[in-house]
Amino acid sequence: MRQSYVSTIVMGNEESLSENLSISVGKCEVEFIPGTKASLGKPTSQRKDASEQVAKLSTFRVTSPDELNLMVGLYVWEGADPEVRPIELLAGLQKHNELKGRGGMSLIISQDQKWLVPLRVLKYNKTKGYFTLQAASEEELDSLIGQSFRDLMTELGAKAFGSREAIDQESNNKRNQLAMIVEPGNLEALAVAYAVTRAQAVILDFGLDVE
Amino acid sequence: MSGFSLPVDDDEVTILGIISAVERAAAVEFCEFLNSQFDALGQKEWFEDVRHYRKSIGDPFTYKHPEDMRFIISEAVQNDSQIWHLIPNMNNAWTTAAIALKARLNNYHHGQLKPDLQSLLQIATLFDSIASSSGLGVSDWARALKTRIKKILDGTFEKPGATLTPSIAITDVPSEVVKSYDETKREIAKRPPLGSKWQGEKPQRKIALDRATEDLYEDGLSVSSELGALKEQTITTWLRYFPRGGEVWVDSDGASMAYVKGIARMVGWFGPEPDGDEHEVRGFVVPRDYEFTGNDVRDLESGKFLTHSSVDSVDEIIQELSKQLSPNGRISITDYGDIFWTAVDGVAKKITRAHKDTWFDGHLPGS
Repeated sequence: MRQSYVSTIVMGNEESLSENLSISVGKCEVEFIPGTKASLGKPTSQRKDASEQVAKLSTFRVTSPDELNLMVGLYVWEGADPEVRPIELLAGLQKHNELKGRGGMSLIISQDQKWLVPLRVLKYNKTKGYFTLQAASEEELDSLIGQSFRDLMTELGAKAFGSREAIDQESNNKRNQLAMIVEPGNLEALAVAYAVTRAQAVILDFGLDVE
Repeated sequence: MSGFSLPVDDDEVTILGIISAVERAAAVEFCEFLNSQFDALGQKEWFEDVRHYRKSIGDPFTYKHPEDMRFIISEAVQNDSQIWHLIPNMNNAWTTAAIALKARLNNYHHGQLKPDLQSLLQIATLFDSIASSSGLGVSDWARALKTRIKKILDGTFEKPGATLTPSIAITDVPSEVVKSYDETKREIAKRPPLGSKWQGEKPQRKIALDRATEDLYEDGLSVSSELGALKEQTITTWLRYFPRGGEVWVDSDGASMAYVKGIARMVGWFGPEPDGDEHEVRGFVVPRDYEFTGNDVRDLESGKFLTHSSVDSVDEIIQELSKQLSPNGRISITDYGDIFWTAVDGVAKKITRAHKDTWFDGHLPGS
């Protein structure tokens, strides 16, 4: 029998009568807020000189036993590539501030018009003294959740997983970067990938080897 | 032998019950074997003969009846004992396993063996080692236990329906063992070993441990002066278990909790640790065997020496061991870091205390 890598998928929410889907992964609980809404803002990819535009916003909440409560959004812009980025840190420890204002996930339209998700990880940067997005090996991703990250993503609908060169024929300087391809709008895969590579990494102090 | 009781999960009561049942079955079987051997020699009162012999040479003898595995093992590993000569296929491997098993059974009878599947697996393996070479049926049970536990641990065992759960109840465990376990669990529930999971509610008082300044702050103001001379020791201990620093919650008795990699853990005390009995050995025994060599401690499983395996200096620990032990003495340690040796009557005698950085890496909580 195929092992399920998603430890829990539940419907329902004690605080409301809505039937919210939630997924447990690592130490994180990802709760999907139903529906979408229009959001006015600037895409991160065009932040410097872009004018405001409308995005279709889907939201999810990442919580953990160490008091993290982070609202995150999938922004599907009218005139820019989609992205996943934190909306508001509602509660958490000092260290969870590392998730505020950084760690967004810029998505790229792939050759076959699906979404390419670069799989970089928030990792402690010893030189800078805080967490930055850095390249990660598949083994490092596996170590964050204690099981196969690739299998987890495949279970959630990833269509391809590997280097950007292997899955999207890229030949630029990012060709060796680990990535996956998902169907446009696959919020479950995007949210879980975000939770693992951002929230879980910070919770586990990824890259912080304290002497 | 059929109808073995086997675990279906990590239920503590079932695990304790199975250990008790296997121990009893093995003792009865060994005793029946020895009865037949001594009968053939015309020594029907052999247990009394052993008692008189041990007393005559000044050895302590606390056993009340022969159907006691610890009695059988203690005799079987001494070559001045008739039992040593009667057990078939006696060799060094048998003796080593028997000594380790006796230590675990002592831990069990004193409420110091952690009631988990790893402990049960270790006990089953040791029973298999000593029973199979002697051709005893209890080894079948021990092997069935090993197979079942490995399946549960690797997630390949599918739990049966409620009606098929084992018929082991806590009433099968000797009352003195139940009492010892209750005491140990009460202690842990009160304040767990440093580095272990926090028990109970999150305390109200919140302090921030700053790794860079090695100071403690409450609402932005340093509060380390409250600790007086204990400041340095307190911060060192907290950083040992909570190296990143951040929020620490302090309870009214000073017990302190922090989230370490997402898990609430006991990281130390704000102020002095409450006085306890300095001779008391607290907590569950770490399931490893160690030997004091005279100037070092050797982990008998890995062969590693403490002086080469610890983060911090262990000079003080070696000095304390030297005062109280002869070279080649066996020692054990609990998850609270209490190092002890076991007297002939099975009572644990505390020697000194270690923490995760003055012991073998990975053996104590928080490492």
